[in-house]
Amino acid sequence: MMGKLRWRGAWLIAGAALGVTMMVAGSACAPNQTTEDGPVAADTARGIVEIAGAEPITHVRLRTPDRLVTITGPDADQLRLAQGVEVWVSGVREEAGQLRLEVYEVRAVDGMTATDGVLELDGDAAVLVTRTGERVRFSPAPPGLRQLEGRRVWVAAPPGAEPRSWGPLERDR
Amino acid sequence: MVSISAILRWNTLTLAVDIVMRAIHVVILVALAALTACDSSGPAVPTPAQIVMSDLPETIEVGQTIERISATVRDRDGQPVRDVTVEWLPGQGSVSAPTGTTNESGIVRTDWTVGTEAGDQTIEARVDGIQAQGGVTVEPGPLSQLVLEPASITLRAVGDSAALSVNGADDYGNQVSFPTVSWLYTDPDVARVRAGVVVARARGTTVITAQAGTASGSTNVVVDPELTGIRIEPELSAVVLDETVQLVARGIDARGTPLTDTLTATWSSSSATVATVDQEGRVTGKEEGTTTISAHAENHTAELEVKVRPGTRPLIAEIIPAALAPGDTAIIIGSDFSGTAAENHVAVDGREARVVGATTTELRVVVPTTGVPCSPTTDRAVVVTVDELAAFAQHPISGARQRGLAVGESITLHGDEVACNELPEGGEYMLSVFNTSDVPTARSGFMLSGTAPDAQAALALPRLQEQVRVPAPSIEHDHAAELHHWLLGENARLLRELALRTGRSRPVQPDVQARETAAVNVGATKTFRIPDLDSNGDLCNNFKTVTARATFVGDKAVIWEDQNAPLAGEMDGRWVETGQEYESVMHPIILEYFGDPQAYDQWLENKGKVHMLFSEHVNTFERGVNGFVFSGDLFPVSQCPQSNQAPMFYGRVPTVAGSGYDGDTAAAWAWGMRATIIHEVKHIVSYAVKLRLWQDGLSASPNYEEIWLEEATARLAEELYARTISGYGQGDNVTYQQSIWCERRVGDNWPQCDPVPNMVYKHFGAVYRYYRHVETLSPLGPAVTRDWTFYGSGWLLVRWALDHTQKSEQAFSRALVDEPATSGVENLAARADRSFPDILGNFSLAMAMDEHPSGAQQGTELKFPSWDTRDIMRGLHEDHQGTGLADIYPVPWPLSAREQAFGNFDTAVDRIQGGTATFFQLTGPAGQRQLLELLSPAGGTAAPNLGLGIVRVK
Repeated sequence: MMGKLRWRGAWLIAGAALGVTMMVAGSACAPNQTTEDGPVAADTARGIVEIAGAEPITHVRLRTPDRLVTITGPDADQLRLAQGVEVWVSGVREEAGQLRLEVYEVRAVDGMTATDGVLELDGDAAVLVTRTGERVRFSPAPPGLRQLEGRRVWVAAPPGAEPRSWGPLERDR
Repeated sequence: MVSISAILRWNTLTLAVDIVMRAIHVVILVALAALTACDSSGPAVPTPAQIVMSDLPETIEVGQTIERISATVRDRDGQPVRDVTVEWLPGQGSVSAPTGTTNESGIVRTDWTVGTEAGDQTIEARVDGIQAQGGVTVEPGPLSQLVLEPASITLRAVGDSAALSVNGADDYGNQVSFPTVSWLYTDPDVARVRAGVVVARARGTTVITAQAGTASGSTNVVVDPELTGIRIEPELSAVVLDETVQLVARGIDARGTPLTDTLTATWSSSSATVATVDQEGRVTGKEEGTTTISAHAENHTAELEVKVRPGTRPLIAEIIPAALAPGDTAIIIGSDFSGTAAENHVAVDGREARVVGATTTELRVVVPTTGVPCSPTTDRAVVVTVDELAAFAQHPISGARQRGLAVGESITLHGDEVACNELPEGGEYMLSVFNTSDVPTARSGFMLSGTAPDAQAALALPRLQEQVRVPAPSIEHDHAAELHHWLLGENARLLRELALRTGRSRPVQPDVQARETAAVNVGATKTFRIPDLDSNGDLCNNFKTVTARATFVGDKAVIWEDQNAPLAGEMDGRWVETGQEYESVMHPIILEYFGDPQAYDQWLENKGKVHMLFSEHVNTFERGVNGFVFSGDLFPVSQCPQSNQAPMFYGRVPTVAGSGYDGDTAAAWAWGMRATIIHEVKHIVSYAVKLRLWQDGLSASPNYEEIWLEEATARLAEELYARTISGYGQGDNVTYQQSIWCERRVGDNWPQCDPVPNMVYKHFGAVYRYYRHVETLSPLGPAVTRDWTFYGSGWLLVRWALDHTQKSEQAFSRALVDEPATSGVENLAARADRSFPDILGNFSLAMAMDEHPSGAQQGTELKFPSWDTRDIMRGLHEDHQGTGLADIYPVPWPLSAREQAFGNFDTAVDRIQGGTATFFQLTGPAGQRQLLELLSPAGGTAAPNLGLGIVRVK
């Protein structure tokens, strides 16, 4: 329940942020606009999350097949837990090579398709509730995954199958 | 009262005595009068009106005692009431004193031993009809038993299954949660547990035992297949005239699985003139033709059509090698084979084998790899059929890859190779199961399943060394020495600002106007802008402005001291020493191993010097850094107003005057700062080179290295510096005594050490911690919150790769920096000319085997030639005993392995992080085989990112 609320809340905030950004940014985001009365599409990218630099000043970036995209914005920190994971990100392009993150989804890990959602347990199974509300079931849920109940996680496995690997997308509580 | 008066009157005394006695009499009379007055109409005796019980702990373990629970009795005015009896009434358990009398403070105490049933329990204190109650949540005790239900299982067909539940309990039967259990079997061929279900494998009985820690529980399983049909074996198609062939009848169960036992059957032939069959199942060809052989048993009948024909049946005389495994090329020696390969049909354990070469006396065949169950080596059928006539033999065949290893020999496996392997002989082996994922937060679980047909039926419980049970670290305290070096935090606020810098378009022209062209001399002052790490904004626009004085000017470096530093002007000699050491020792190392910190200088001030600015602002940043580099300094001020337009780093300053190491003195500062200088300059090199590659169009954007490898190589720079200071080199197998021992000894008491700074002490501090938590940490970055061990473990990984390459250290490390396109694991693997799974597999075995007491790693890749890690870990442990850091180094050797005897077991591991490993020490008697399956935690196919390393130790 908490997870669902969190997802919905995140999307409301992200949607509001996107709307406000677009209103303010106006023509600055010309490549992202569609029609005057239609929705404004966000920029998207897909790639591997990397944390680069040297402590204490590091940054999150996305390695796409042809470029490096620096991820900015207050939510960019979320991606630090996804280092090495292939994600789809959506946000607003700020400058060359930068994207202000609004939402992201895990797509693959180590070349294996992955599902991204809030973990619920249902008997022996793990159920991931995705941001669209879809419930993706994996069974049986390994003990190591069960420990992350209630958190946003990714699971690499075909739906219905036993998870091969998994990882948290929220920090330790 | 009357009697006393009478007694006094009765005595006839002297006057003096009489006077005294009269006086006493008066006093007594007064006292008695007072008492009489109290009894009737004086002040009231305090009576209990309130009883208050002391606070109880929120939780306690079953059967434990809460000592000195108190109840305070007060009257209606709140005054303590003494000498009243309080009764203690525990809801469960017992008290040391069921009743007690209040003292002068109105207090009474008892000890309460809570009951043995977990849950909420209460205790009541009662006096004169008033009472107080306290409660505590009683938690179960430690896991002491596992209860398996049902206690016995009977399965009626091979492949049938039954659910099996496991409940953990403490000594009193309270339910207790427990980690993943391991399974042990008296006969794993009969049944095994997969995903919480018992699956029948063959007729027989077995005891299945679940184990978690020291707790265990068992269930009996009987597999008694119900016979639903029979079949005749072998399935001959032809016999030769006058030849006799032995047939057998075998039952099949409800799932069609042939049972191992043969049946006593009634045999018959539909045409005895073509072939006869006796009641032992022996068929003899009599004349050419076809007949049907029938077997009848247990109310079932099977038939086999057999042709009788002339000819010569082929014969198998020998099969090489002595045991076959999937994928092997086998040689079958015999007679009457066909010289044409395609005319020979060979089946190995019922599966068609490809014939790749043939003569009439020798066949070369490839043992099939598909459809072969993972099974230990046992005798199975090999059948060669030539023109309908078959030759039969029984030969040892395994479903597993044979991994015969000499002592000291090792193998690393990944991909499909990890699933099924067999150690053909006993001995002592070290196994590492490693996670090749390059995602440090990725987790995979697995089950290592063992089958040993020759193992004794007695259970051999695996013994898990204590250290493996160390809980995963989360926000535990870090190594004290590291606190000054590393951030405690996640840099969230810095993220956006830095990202802005990295994302800017490349500067097409140097910002000439902003350049300062005048030469710098000692004593000169200059204004600098220090990025404000505590700000919430863009670091390019949030900085602290300081004026600093040049205290050292050399060919390659300028040292600036903030004029407001606490010891400003008092440590010029120290600055000169620091600058000279950089120029004579560090800069040559930097150039030789990493590159030129001025690689981007033509776009900056272009003075060919590294600037080191030391300011108290760095001391006071919340993140507690020793020093740091900001890439904004490599951009023109037009793009980054903060920029000092020079390759530079910022460092902290000492704050306490005086010599010695008492407090934050200059000497203590130097102990911690000297190695940090080369660490930070290495970062400058990385930034400068990556920007130069970008500027030259060799990379599409600044390809800054991933943090784990950037910090690992900065630590490498510190190690190279340590070599110069302490006098050791690559491949020297350096011990604790030769390295860290002196780093930890400063001051006049240790003249032979002073002033050796902190160099690799922090490297191995992090490695020690990584070893202790090896399953849940990763060299590839933070695996859990506030984990900085990758500084050490990442460095050790790079060190291992450096020491096992044909390239020079210099070429290897420079190539890492010069890489324009890739980063992280991909960069390291490319420099090492080997795959990451190969690197990680051997690195993990080296962790376990370096200077192993057996000596089995000698001459192999399974060691760290430059460092005697076993001695160093022991040194850290011993050298910290009796200090405040002793609990950080609690054991001489922090890397634990699960000890497991050869046998029949399923041992599950909940998780290992990406880029790390876990270990098993496997031991078996000579001559015994051990099958090893790597499976998912539920018994399915293991995650494809898992690898298996095996080294034979003895």
